[in-house]
Amino acid sequence: MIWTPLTAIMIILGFSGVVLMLYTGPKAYIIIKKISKASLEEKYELEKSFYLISTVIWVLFIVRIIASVLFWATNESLIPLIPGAMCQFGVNQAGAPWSWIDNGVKLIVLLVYGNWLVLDLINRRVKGAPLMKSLSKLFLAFIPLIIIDVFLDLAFYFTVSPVVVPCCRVVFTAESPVPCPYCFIFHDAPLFIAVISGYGLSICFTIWGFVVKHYTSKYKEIEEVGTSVMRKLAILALGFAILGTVVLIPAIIQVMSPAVPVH
Amino acid sequence: MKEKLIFAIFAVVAIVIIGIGVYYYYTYYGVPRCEACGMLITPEMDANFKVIDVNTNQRVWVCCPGCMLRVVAAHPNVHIEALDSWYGTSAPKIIIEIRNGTVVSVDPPTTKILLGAAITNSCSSNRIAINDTSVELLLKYGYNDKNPLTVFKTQLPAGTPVLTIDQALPRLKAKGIAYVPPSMAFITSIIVIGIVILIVGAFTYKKLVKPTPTTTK
Repeated sequence: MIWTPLTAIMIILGFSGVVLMLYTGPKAYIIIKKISKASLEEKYELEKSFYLISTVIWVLFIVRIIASVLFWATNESLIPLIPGAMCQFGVNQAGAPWSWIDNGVKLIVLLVYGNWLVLDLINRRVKGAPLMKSLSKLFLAFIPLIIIDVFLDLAFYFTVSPVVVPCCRVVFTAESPVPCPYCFIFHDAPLFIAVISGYGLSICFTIWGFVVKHYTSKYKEIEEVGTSVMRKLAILALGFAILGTVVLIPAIIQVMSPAVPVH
Repeated sequence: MKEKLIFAIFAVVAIVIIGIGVYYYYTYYGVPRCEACGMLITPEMDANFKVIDVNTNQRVWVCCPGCMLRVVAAHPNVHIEALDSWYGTSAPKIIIEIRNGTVVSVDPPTTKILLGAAITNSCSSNRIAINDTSVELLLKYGYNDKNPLTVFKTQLPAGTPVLTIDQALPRLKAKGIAYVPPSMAFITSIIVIGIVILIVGAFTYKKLVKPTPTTTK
């Protein structure tokens, strides 16, 4: 374990994720169990209970999304503390195998958790919470991912130690068809952080839009709100795709420029 | 009102993304890179290693004692001034003169290079020492936390070779410049991915934004 303010924050976010998940998981399960047989009055009580749970789930997902962004910043900050590491590739080697799987998981958390948040946003704007059961089921379906996400963070930051690791150039030589992704994005052409953010958000909004379309066709009660949300998601998807492309142009110029110093 | 809110959220996120982009664009062009490995030059590296190409009288930026000799592959005539990795500015500067790719003089002659990169393949494992005391301290502790100009705050790997400049130069010169920009195929693939995402964005817009129904009177 390497204790730094950022690794400590990641550990705290990990444990808070466990606590929030343990609180909401059983309650979501109870809603699914009770809702089919519930009377009108019981349904109203379940609805109230769901609003409370969904607020906690909002906190949980936002915490995990923040952790997924902080993950890259934390790994970047560990580079000087691991002998031999020159980029995040070295940090990941020091925390293998958890680090590598965690890298993959962190790429999809916004897409998955954001999907639930968008659907809950629609549910809150429609009377009678028609998506209550679907959202509870969806949340339970996401629990394995939350467990993996949190477990990998804790396993990685508890096991990473200042062991001697080789530089990424051992794997990504001058002859490699692709450069080291960490050097490329965080050091060689950091403008790609903006490109990836723009395109990543565009992909997320696109997928969320189609998921909303699916639920809108399934639940007629949410049609009006769903259509309005779909429209906004589509505009955002196109907007961020255009933004990513606009930033891509100087990013490509940045990559093409010779690697000589300018001073 | 809600449309305005969405627009405002988009504008804020877009400004943040563009802000990050502009910052990194500035960072990239505002900070020199090691000519041998491409690493960004920190103020500590700048203070520790000064390599001047005597043919052009231009500074050649390097990140470590290994790269300091690797750049000789591209700059055969160089004047090098380096600080001892343990003592920093508390010891006299190490002066190395290289002409036609061979060492002409090393001052002081007791100077040694600790080439940990031979074990770890990483610049962060390289050190330069003015004498044997410094060599011993660096092998034992890796770095001096009282030296404010310490570049790499890491231990050295076991079995780090200790070489004179004459011994180290041929192997480092042979390694030469390792930093190469990404290939055209890689860049083209990024552009293709970008275009695909843009098309998908446009398709999503067409598919999900239905025209608002108009009422007939």
